[in-house]
This record gives sequence, structure tokens and C-alpha cells, in this order.
Amino acid sequence: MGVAAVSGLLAVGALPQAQELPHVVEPTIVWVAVVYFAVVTAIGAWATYRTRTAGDFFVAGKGIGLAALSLSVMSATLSGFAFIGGPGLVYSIGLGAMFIILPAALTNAMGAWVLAKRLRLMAEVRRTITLPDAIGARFRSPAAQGLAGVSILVAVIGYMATNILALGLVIDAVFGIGLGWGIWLGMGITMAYAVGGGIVAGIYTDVFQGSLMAVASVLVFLFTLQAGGGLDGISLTILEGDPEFLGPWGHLTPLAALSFFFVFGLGSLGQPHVVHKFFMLRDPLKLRWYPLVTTLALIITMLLYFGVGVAVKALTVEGAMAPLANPDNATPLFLLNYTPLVLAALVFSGVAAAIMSTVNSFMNIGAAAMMHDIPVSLGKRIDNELLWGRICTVLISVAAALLAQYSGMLVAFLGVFGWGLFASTLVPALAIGLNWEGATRAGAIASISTGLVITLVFETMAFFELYSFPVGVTVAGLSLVLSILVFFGVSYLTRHTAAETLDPDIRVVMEA
Amino acid sequence: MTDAGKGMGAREWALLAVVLSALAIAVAYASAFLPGGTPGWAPWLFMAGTSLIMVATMALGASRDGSIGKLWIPFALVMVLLLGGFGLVLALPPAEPGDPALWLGLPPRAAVILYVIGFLPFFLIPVAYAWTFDELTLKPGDLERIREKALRARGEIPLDRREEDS
Repeated sequence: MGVAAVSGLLAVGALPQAQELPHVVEPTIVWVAVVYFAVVTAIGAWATYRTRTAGDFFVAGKGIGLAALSLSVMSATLSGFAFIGGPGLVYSIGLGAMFIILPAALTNAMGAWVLAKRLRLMAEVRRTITLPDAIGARFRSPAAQGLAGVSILVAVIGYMATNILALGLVIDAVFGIGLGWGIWLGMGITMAYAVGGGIVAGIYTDVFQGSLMAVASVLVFLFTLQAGGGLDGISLTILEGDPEFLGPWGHLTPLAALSFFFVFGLGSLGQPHVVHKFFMLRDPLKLRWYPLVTTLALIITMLLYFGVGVAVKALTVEGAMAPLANPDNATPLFLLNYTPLVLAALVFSGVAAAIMSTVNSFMNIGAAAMMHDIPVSLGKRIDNELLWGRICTVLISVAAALLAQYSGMLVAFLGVFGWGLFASTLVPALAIGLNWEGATRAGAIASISTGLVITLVFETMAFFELYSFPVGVTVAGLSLVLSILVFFGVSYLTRHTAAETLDPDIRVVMEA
Repeated sequence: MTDAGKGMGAREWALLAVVLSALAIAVAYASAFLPGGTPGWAPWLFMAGTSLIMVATMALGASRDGSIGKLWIPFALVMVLLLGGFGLVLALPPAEPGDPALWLGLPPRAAVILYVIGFLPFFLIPVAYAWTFDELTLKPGDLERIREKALRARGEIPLDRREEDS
């Protein structure tokens, strides 16, 4: 895989896979999948019963515990990418793919220090329910809130379309019902519990599927060691056939690999489907253990990502497996050939459920942007937010499913935006803005606009092959760093307005 | 970034470090547009910038009343791990063909990436967060105190407290 192509993979969280998977229609796999979907549906029904207000629908009534927060953050961070796209990426580019997950030991604590406490306190003081809400309150700026809402909505539709396409591919691989039916079946089930149970359904399905992902990951990792003759055996085999694969950057350049580290490290502070969950913790004192528990869960679950990628590479080098035409087949083919069928079934169902939970999170924040943030920025407040939240969830879901089914290449194009757009538009205003009294409204609006424009313009030009950056430079990385510099630069130039854009109660939250 | 007459606190130092590291990253990116391709110093600059921006952002979020308390120890250690690890990887030559030296199952440079940069910070940073939580993040009673202080700041003192105040 060329380095240029890797630029697009900065949206990997949104791209579990975009090509057809091998069909794995086996009675065991089908039955495990049916049971899995039944459990998810039951959780959705229970969550619907619990959801009575807009606060329940969007922030789970600020009532979730530490385990639910940690597992749902872990699940939302990884999605199906951890099990399908990620191992395929490791198989393709070697150790360079590890730079996506390399900052994981730092990102959860960073998020906790920079955002968790302040967002949770802001929810207490101002009853904020969305990240654009928090930006609007911080800068006393409906315009900043609206711009952040628009950025989220654009990225969410792209993310959802690519995830729904991936979900259709996985369901088709398991049930053999065709891509179109796979898309609508998967989207229908997800929408049913998302519309009824809102984020409560998303959180608790995340807990269920996240726990299974962690267990399955450890088991599959043990099988990869067995198949490859231990980590020593895997390394020695790969070093004979492709030494660069296990070089520090894999098949990437140092700049490209380090760029992954930067974008997936600092950029994690701008991922709304993860950060949004900080509003929901019942007891903020439980945050003490959040980084430790979440990071441990992430590391355990990433064992499969690394293990399958390197084991399949070793197996292809020694000739035990044929080289893969489609790297996304690394996990399905390894599972079918080297693990018990029940474990393979668990992983396949886990992938579908992981994608569904991510889609659910996006449905929720997309609906919030559509019916709350954008209207508020225009000076309108919708009366029945619960009803309109549900209606917007349906509208966004149907739009994303139609895009996934009928837009062809456009869906891949939209998916490219995801992570980078969130990072470049939200990190400066949110992460730095909530920690620096000198930030100004003009700085926030300028940085959000910079992230939005650079990402959209250059990703569009790269997609249509009108222009692409030199090797090692990614649109996501460049737009993130430029939006940070613009934020500081414009805030400095307008520093005389800093005090007037900071309400006294928000200052209390920032100084806490 | 700081009041005139006052020294720079941890928050101001962290902000300065974020700005400088973002500039370093931007320069490293810009160097890739030079006619001869990415110069040899660019990955070094990018490595320094990305390591610093991560640690500085954590320090920015962690600072309270202008201080990061004991956290300077884990932050300094992580900075050493990141700079040392990436620097070692950039400086070390590739393994000789036929030299199967492995560290915990991986070639040395790969082992540094995964174990030193990827794994070791887990034992420092999340643990440091829990360790300093009472001092720098929240302790019992803070939530009520902050909520009340914020409401007072907004001129919305709870009714029961207004009576007490009068």
C-alpha cells in the first residue's frame, strides 16, 4: 500500500472495511450472530423503557458508572476497525500501522485531564448536553456553537455512511443475504434501539460488546502466537521475507508514521463520540480510575489488531497462507483456518455489534447537532427535544444508509473526512479553549473554520486526484496543526476581547 | 498569557510549549514541500514537536492554581521515554540481515517503538492521574463547592443559601 493511500486511512476509525469479505455462512456463526443481535435488541428495549427525557436521550441522564464509561469509550474508539481494518493495515504496512494505536497509553489520561472534569462540571453548571454546547458556553458564541455543530454533522454523515456500508458487508458475509439487505438490516436494528433508547442504548450495548471484544481479542491473540510459533517465530519468519515490515516505521516514511502518532494522539481530544461521554458520568470522583481502566481495556483489545496482522504476514511469508488480495481478509481468513468456529463466530458478531454501537453514537451526536446546536446558533430552541431528537435520528440514519447503498465512490470520499475533521475543528476550541482564559471567540471561530475549510478542500482535491500533499504529509495532520496555530494567533491578535467572552461561572469551571 | 508582574505558572509554560511544538510540527510538514523532498532533520523536528505537544497538553489540563504539583515527575519521565525512544529509533541503524537479535520477540527498533513508547507510559501516566486525583483534579465536596461558586458567580445563589448569607 502506498503512503499516499495511507493518508486516506486517517479515517480508519470510520473504515472498518470497504471491500467484500469472504462469506462465512456456517450454522454456528449464524446462530451466534442471531443470539448476539437478540441481546442487543433486548438492551435496546430496556434502554427505551429508561429513556424519558432529552437528558436521558443525549447524556444518559448523567447516570452512568465507571465501568460503563470506560467500556463504552473503548468500544467507540475502536469500532469494527480494531478487528478487521486494523489487522489488515498491519498486514499491509507493517509496524507503521501501530502508530495509530501507539498513543493509547497517553490519550485517556490526557482526555481526563484536559476535558473530562471541565465538561462534567460544565454539564453541572450550565446543563450542557453536547460539545458544541460547551464551545458556545465557553466563548459566549452561538456562531462558534453552530460552526462546531455543522462540522460534526458533516463528519458524522460520512462516518455513518462508511460504517453502515461496513456493517452491510459483515452481515452479508455472515448471513449471505446480499449487501443491500445487509445495509438495511443492520441499519434497521441499530436505528430501532437508537431511536428508542438514545445514548443509553448505545452505552449499554457498548458495555456488552466491548466486554466480548476484550475476551475474544485475548483468545485470538493466543491462537496467533500458536499459529506463528510464538512472537520470536513470527518475527524471525517475517525478517527472512520482508525485514522492512518489522522496521520501526514499517512500510511508511518516518514522517508519515509520526504523523499518525500526532493525529491519533492529540486528535483524540476532538472525537465527539468519545469525549461526549464525559457528560454522562454519575459520580465525577470515579474519574480517578477512568484512564487506568480504559487504557487497560484498550491495550487488551488491541492484541488482536497486532497479533493477527503479524501472524498472517508470517504465515504468508512461509507459504502457509496465500498472499491476500484484500488485506481486510486477514482476520476472517485467520479465524476460519486457525481458531475454533465458536471463537470465529464471536468475533464476527462482535465486529457487527461494534460497528452498530459506533453508528449508534454517531446517530446520537448527529441528531443533537441537527436539532439542538444548529437551531440554537440561529437563535431558535426546539420545544420537544426528545421527540425531535428521535425524528432527526431517523432522518440522519436513512440519509446515511442511502449514501452507503447508492453513492458508490462518494461513500469512501465522505469517510476520509472523519477523524481529521473532528480533530482539526474541535481540538483547539474545546481542549485548549477550556484550559486557557486568554482564548477568544474570534480565535475559536477562526480555528474551527480553518479546520473545516482545509480538510474539505484538500481531501476533495486529493480524492479527485487534483492535488496531493508530498509523501508523509497528511491532510488531517496539517489541518490539525494549522487550526491550533490559527487559534493561538487570532486569540493573540484579539486578546483585548478575551475577558468579555468568558462568563464568570465558566471561569469558575475552568479554574476548578 | 500571564498577568503583568507575575511569573509564568505551569499553565503558561504549558501553553508556550504547545505553541512552540505546534510550530515545530508545522515547519516539519512544510519542509516536505521543499524541492529536494523531506530533509533529514524533519522527522527529528516532528518527533520533538509531537512528543512535546502531547506532554504539554497534559500539563495544561492538569495544572491547578498555576502548578502541576508532583506531576512534573511522570511528565518528565514520559518526555524522556518519547524523546529517547523515538531518538533511538531514528539514530540506530537498521538490523544487519542475518542478525536475528530479538528483544522480547521483536527486532530492537520495533521493540523500542512498541514497548518503550507504546507500553511503558501506561505504568506512568494513568497511574499518575489516579495518584494525584485528590490534589489536582477533584476531591469529595468539590462538585458541590464548584457548583455553588459558579452559581454565585452568575448571580444565581441557591435560595436556601441566600437566607443563610443574609
